[in-house]
Amino acid sequence: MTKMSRKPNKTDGRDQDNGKKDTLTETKGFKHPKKAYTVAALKELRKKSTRPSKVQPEQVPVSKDLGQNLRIISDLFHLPKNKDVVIREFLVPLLCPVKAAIIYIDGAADTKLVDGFVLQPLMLLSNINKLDEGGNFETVKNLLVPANQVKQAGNQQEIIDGVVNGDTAILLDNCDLALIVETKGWPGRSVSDPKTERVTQGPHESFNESFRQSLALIRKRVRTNSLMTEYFKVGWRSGTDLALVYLDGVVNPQIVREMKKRLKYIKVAYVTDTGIIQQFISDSPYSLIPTSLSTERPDRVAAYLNEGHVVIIMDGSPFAIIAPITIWGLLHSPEDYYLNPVVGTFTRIIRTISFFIGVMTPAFYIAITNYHPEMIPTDLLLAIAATREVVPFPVVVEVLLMEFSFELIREAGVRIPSVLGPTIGIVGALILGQAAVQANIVSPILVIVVAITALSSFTIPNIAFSLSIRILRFIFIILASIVGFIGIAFGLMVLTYMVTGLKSLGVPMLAPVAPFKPMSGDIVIRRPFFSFDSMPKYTNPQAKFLQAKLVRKWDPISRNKVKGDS
Amino acid sequence: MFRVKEGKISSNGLFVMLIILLVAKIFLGVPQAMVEEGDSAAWLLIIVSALAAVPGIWVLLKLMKKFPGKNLIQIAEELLGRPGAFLTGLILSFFSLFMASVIVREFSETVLTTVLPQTPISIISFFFIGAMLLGAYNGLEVISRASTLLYPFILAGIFSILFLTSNYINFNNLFPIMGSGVGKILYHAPGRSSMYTEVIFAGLIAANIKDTDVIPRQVWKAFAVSVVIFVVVELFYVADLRVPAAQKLYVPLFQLARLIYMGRFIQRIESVYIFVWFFLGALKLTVFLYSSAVALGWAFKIPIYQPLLFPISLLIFALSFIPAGVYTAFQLDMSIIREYGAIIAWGLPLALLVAAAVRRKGGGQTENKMDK
Repeated sequence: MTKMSRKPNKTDGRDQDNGKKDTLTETKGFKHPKKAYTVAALKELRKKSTRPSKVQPEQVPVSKDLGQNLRIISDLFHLPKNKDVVIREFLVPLLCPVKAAIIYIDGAADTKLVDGFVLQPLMLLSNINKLDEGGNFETVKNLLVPANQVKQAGNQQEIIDGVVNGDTAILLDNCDLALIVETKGWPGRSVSDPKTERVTQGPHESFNESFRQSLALIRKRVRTNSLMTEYFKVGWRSGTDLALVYLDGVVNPQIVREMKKRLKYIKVAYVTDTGIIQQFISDSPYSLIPTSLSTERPDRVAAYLNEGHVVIIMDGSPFAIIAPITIWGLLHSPEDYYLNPVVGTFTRIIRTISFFIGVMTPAFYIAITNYHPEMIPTDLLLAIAATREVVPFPVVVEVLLMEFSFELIREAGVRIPSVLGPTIGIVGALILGQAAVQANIVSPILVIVVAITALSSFTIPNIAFSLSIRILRFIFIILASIVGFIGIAFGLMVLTYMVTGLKSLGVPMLAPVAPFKPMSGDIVIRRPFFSFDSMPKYTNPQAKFLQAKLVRKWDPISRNKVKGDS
Repeated sequence: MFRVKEGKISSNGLFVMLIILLVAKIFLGVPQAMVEEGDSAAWLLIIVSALAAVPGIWVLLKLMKKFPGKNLIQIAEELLGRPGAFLTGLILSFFSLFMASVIVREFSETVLTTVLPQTPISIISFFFIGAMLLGAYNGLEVISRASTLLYPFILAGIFSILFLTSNYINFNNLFPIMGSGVGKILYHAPGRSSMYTEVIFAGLIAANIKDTDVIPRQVWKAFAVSVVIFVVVELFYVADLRVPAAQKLYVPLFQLARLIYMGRFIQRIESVYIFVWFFLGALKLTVFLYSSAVALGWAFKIPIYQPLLFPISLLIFALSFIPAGVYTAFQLDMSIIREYGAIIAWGLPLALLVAAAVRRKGGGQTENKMDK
C-alpha cells in the first residue's frame, strides 16, 4: 500500500504523449493501476472492452434491395479504403430493365473473362426481346452468363468466398440470390522443369503453384474415372485449397479416412506451403526422417497413386505430398524405373551406400584416428600422422571446423543471389581446400573426407532426407569423439530404434523389411518392371495386381516361368 | 480383464528375437567355458546340453499350448490365483534384471579390456543402458523390428569372423573326438542347458504374438539355429586355436577376430566387430529390460510399463558394478546363471504344468476359443 500511495517518480512516456498521465504510473519498471478497481468494476470494464458481437456474414441473406446488398458488401470489404475490390453497377436491358452490379477483385479475377463473359452479354446481348426465362435471375443465369462454372449464393459469406477466390459475383435488383461466376485469373508461372528432382531420362514436367494445373498434370497421367480429387479448405484467413487425390478401388479406404481426419483437424490461420501441411499430418513431427514424401514430379505422383497411396496437392505450392511412404522411397529416384534394371539397381546401391558415407565418414575418421589406429595399415597410418603433425587442433575440432565451414558454403550457396553464385565456388575451393591446408589448420586427408561426405549427401534424391543427414552427421561426430566405434554403434542403434518406430499414416517406415512382408523387388534391388505384378502389401491396398500374370507372352522363358508358378 | 499395454508382433519377430537372445552369449565367455569342460569335445557338450534343454523347452511349449494366447503370468493367475501371478511376475522380473545387470557388466568389461582401455567403465555401461532404455521404451514392436533389421548383419558378422580366420584351421585340434570324456560331458550337460534359458521369454510375450499356433515351430527353429551356430563357432574356435589356448582366452570371438590376417591390408580389423558386439548386446539387454518391466507390470497390475523402465535401468546400472572385477562378473554368469538358471527357466513352467494337471485346467483349443 505504501508503494501504491507513493507519488510516482516517473511517468510512462507513452501516456505523456497521449496526455493520459494519470492512468498508469511506473515504479522501478512495474506498472500499477492508480485506481483501485472492485471485482464488479473490472467485470464491467471487461464487458465494455469486448468487441460488440458482430453479425456473421453467413447469417445475412442476400437482400432483394440491390442498394442494401452493395452497402453490406462495401462494409464487409472495407470500401472505399480497400482499393482492389471493384464494384461495377450497370443496367441489364431485359424486357423490363433491371439494375445490377458485379463485384470482383482486380488481379484475382481475369478482367478479360469479366469483360467478355459477364459484362458483355449482360449489357449488350440482354436487350434481345425473346430473352425471358421466368424471372430475371433465371434469365441471367441460364441465358446471359456464358461461363463454364456458375454458382448461386444465398448469403453474404458465399459472395465473399467467391470474390476472394477470384470469381465474380453478380447481384440483381429485386433478387434474393447472387450468381458467382468462375473468372479466376491468378497470376502464375507455366509448367517448367523440376528444380530439385532432375532426371536424365524421364519426363521433365513439374508441378507449379497453380492448383488446377497441378491437378491437370496428374489427370494427364492417370486417365481414369476412379481418380478422386476431394477438396478441403485450410486456413481461416488464407482459405487455401487442398486436394486429396487417390485412386478409388485401389487405395486402402482406411488410409483415405485417416488422411481426411488429419486434414480436417488442421485449424490454422494460414498455410503457405505443403511443408507446413506435412508437419500437421505427420505421425512424428520431430523426427529427422520425413514421414511423408514431398515431390514436384507428376510422374512420381502417378506411380504412387497406382500403388495405393494418397496425394495432397495444395494451391500455391509446387510440391505434392505423398503418404504413406517407406524409408526406401526416400532413397528412390523416378529415374531408377526408367533405366535398365541393372543400372537402376546399381544407382540405388550407390545411393544407399552414400547415405551411410554421408552420415558416418567423418565419425569413422575421428574414431579410427583417435581410438582404433591399429585398424589403419601402417603406411596409411604414417601418411595420416605426417599430415596431422603440423595441425595444432585435435581431430574432432579439425573435423567440426571443416564440416561447419562446408555447411556455411552450402547455406550461402542457397541464399546467395545468382549473379554472385560463382563467388561461392572460389571461396569454397580456395579457402577451404587449398588455403586451409597450406595454413596448417586442417590436414589434406580431412579435406578428402569432407568432400566425399558432401558428395554423398547430395546423391540423396529427397531434400528433407538429405538435410537430416547433415544433422545426423554432427551427432555421429560427437558420439565418435567420445567413445569411438562404441559411440557410432550406439548412434546406429538409437537410429535403428527410432526408424523402426516411425510410422507414416500408420504404416511402419521400414516395411516391408521390418516388419517383414512379401517384397515386390523394389527396395534396394530393382527388379525389371514386368516383374512387378502384385501391389506393395504394406499399405494393404484394395487392388491386388499391377499387371497381368504373363506380360511377355512372346518370350518362351517368361511363358515357362508362369507355367511353373501355376 | 487386466492387460499390460504392449504391441503385437508376428511369430517371425519372436524367432528373430530368440536367436538374438540365445546367440549373444557367443561373444562372451561361452565358447571358452565349453572348452574348459569339454576340451576338444566342446561342440559335443553343446549338443548334449541342448538335448538336456529339450525337455525344459517342451514343458514350456506344452504349457503354452494348453493356454494359448496367454503369457506365463496370466497362466499362473488362472491356476494359482493372484498370489501365484504376483510371484511368477516377480520371479521373471528379477531373473531378467539379474541377467541384464551381469550382461551389462560383461559387455562393458570386454569393450573396456579390448578396445577402450582408458575409458571409465561407467561411460561404456551408460551407452549400453541408454540404448536399451530407448529400445524398451519404444515397445515390443520396435524391438522386434530392430532385431529383424539387424540380425542378418549380426549373423554375417559372426560368420565373417569364422571365414576370415579359416586359414588357421587345423583339424587335428579337434581330436581326441570325445575330449574330456563322455562322463564329464554328461555330468556338465544338464547344468549347461541353462545356456538356453532365454527361451522362457517366449512364455512371457506369448500373449503378444499374432499367430499363436506357430509359436512352438518358431521356438524350436530358433533353438535349432542357435545350437547350430554355437556348434559351428565352437568347432572353428577349437580348430583355430588348440585346446590349451582356447581354454584361456576370455573373449573368444574377439580373440579370433584379432587373428584375422588376409594379406597386408585386411588385418587388425577386430574393432569393426564392435558394431556386431554392441548391436547384439544392446538388443539382448533391451529385451531383458523390457521383460523385467513388463513382468513387474503384470505382477503389480501396472497397465503402462514405461514408467518402470528408468528405475529398473538404474538398478541394472547399479547392480552391474557389484562384481569386484571382470573375472567375478564372468564367474557369476558362467557359474550361477548358466548353471542354475535352468531351475527357474525350466522349473517355473514345470510347476505351472503340474498345477494345471492337478487343477485340470487348460485345454488348448477350448481355451483359445474362450480367450477369443
